[in-house]
Amino acid sequence: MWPLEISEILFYGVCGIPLLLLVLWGVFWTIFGILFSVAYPFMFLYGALTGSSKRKDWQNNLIIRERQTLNKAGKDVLSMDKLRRPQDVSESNVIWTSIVIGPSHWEQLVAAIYMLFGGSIDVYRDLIALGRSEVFQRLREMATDKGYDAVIGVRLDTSMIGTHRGKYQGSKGIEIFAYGTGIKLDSSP
Amino acid sequence: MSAMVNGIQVVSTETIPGFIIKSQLGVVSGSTVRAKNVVRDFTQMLKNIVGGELPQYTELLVESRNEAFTRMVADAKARGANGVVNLRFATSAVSPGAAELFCYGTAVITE
Repeated sequence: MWPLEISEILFYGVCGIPLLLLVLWGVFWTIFGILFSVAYPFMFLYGALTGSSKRKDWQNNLIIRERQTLNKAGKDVLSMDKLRRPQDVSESNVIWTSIVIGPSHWEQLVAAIYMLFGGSIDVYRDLIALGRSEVFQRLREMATDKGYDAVIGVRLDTSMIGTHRGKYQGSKGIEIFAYGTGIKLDSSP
Repeated sequence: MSAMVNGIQVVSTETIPGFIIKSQLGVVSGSTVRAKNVVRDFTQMLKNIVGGELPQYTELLVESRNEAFTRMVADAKARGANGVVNLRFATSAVSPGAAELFCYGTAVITE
């Protein structure tokens, strides 16, 4: 039998290696499936139990950061305190930022139950409201970091990404995107 | 994430403050269709169970927008413009798992 003839080497090379890969692939997914089905309830529970406290932390953190940028710039950069003449503007450029947030599976379940009866779905409302505040704050931080005095013409855009139509599979994300024109004023140092 | 690519000034307002628009050269646009990476999708799927921000997707979308933006600026450059006004962004999910990111504006010559 040994050494192999060329025809045998060709046979094992062509048929054996793909078969081996196929078996390994199956073994991998089986192990992963078992692990996932064991871990999923714990992840689900973790998301359900820590969701609200995490959100509260995020909100508090956001308030602190908003205060910081307010102190740094002296005013809210996303609003003009008074109208200026266009001649005062020395530089203007577009800036943008975005965030992708996903409701946890617990929240998706709660929302699905709410959807039976209709009305306001509070879990989604809170999440999206927080996401909007966060994206505005990122725009403020970006503007102050780049030295812009104000941002004019701010626009928001919200879109769903990664949804499988009508099914709860894959990941579910809501993208919130904000852009505007940052301006520098002549009077500033 | 900033503008001023290749000396072209891009704003989202109707005029560029402090400049006079001499002539306009029509609408310029740039787009890109991006799919999610399998590994990224997997990790984000796990993250999605717990909830919160999906940072990898944020990163991916910012990268893709930069690409669309760069294409739009190249288009404006090819027309001989030195500015783009009225920039707008649009997003559409062309199929589950892929998103089109599109940006458009009006190319102008300013002085």
